[in-house]
Amino acid sequence: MNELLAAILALALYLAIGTIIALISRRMGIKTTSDYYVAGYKLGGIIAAISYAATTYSAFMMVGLVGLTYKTGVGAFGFEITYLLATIFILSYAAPKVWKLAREREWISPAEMVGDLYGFKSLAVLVALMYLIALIPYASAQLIAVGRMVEGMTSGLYWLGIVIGVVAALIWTGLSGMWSLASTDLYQGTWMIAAAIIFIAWLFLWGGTDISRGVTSLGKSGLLGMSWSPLVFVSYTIPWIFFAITNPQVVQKVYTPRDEKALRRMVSLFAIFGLTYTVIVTLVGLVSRSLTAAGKLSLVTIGDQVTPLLLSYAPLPLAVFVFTSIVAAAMTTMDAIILSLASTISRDMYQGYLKGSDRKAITLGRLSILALLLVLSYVAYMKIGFIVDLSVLASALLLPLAPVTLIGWYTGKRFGKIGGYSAEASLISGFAIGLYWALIHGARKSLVTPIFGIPTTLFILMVSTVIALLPLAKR
Amino acid sequence: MSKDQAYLIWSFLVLALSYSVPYFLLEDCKSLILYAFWLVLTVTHFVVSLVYLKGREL
Repeated sequence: MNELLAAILALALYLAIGTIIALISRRMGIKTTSDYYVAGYKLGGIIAAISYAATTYSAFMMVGLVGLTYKTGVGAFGFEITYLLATIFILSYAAPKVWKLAREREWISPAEMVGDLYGFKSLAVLVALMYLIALIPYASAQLIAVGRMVEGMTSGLYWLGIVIGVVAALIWTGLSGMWSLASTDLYQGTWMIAAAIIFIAWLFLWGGTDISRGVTSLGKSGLLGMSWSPLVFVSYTIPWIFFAITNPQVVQKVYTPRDEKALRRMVSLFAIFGLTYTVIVTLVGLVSRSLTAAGKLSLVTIGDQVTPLLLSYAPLPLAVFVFTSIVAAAMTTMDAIILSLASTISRDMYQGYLKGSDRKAITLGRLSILALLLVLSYVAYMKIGFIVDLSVLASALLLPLAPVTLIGWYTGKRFGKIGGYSAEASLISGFAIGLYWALIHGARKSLVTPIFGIPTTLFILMVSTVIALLPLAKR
Repeated sequence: MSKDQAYLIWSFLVLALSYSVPYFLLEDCKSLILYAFWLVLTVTHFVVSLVYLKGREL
């Protein structure tokens, strides 16, 4: 009874604070689509940084990555840190250019950006469709994570998690768009990192000398070396290396800082957040495995159960604090995807073709948020297997956007119509290969089943790049 | 060589090291050296990126 009460109190507190923040953010005033979707390009550096980080780091971190590190060792740290290395590079090198162009050309949605870079309107619609197909499963997986966390905290109320997720997302995203999203991200990101720091500190205290005893045996079992095969490592890391370019929910965040100083601060604080969170999460996995080796923790066969098992030993306030932080991690990722998809519907499809007014576009955006949330809640409640499975493929399916976007950023409209057609062919081919391979082998297995001996994601990237570069060869 | 080119080369080198060192030098390590390698590489890359970002004109 104490546990249920503590869980409900923690969730109520979490929701109440978030809703108050979202309501306060209404004061910013929403008049145009740029106000609604990119906060009028006026976000401060700290809020932009934490919003970027909270969007990037989903429930996968504290549940999936902990389990992955527990099961596969230090290689899992390499997988996550390679993403961070690449993202620091992309944000330092390319983000200033994108940030500047977004202001000059008044980009709001990332699909609009790609279309504009090539001067090819239909390209924006194609990109928008890719986002919808690839990201609805990914966002559904986040809502499922919210449901499962609440189910774990309340001993079975999965549906309550879905209701909480949908209602909170509706208020926190729909109310003032990017303003309410980024403000609640700041609050939730702070919750995530604070919970992670206290969790790891408790774990070290609880584990005590058993940890160092266990680490020695981890070395003998090969978990401290490179336990991932090159095929798996390359296949898994490639989509994440390009995540900052291919995923609209983070690309859109690059448009938002109010000035150069805020942009620099966004990049540096995101990197600090990312490194801290990654180190903590992977240490939780490694320490847990050490404690299993030392006989203090029973062996866990399903990776996702490591964190819940650890928290069953933690003091109740800490356990609910960490569980709620995982709900927050899932919520921030889902909210950002929803807003990004809504921007694509109202900007690329409605305003792009029907030339609707800003006011109507914002109303349509809010209705799109509601409609998307209804779709997600249906998928999450019914746990539709194939769609949920597709969530692991989201970044791989969006991978063809990497060469197309990079070429667009650095060569622009120089290739004329032929460039636009090549870009479309590149996107369709890469996307089709990923989807076809997933249908044949199943979503999860397709990632580690090579195509002609080449890691799947590398193959998709190569095909898309070659096709996207064809106009260059013609010149 | 411009600052941009130097940073580009540096970043590709960092990514190449992130992929190659674990397989060629630290595949069978028995201590936390591989973990430390990736950590030091990231911190170094972060510092270099920060210097680059501060020095470049937007």
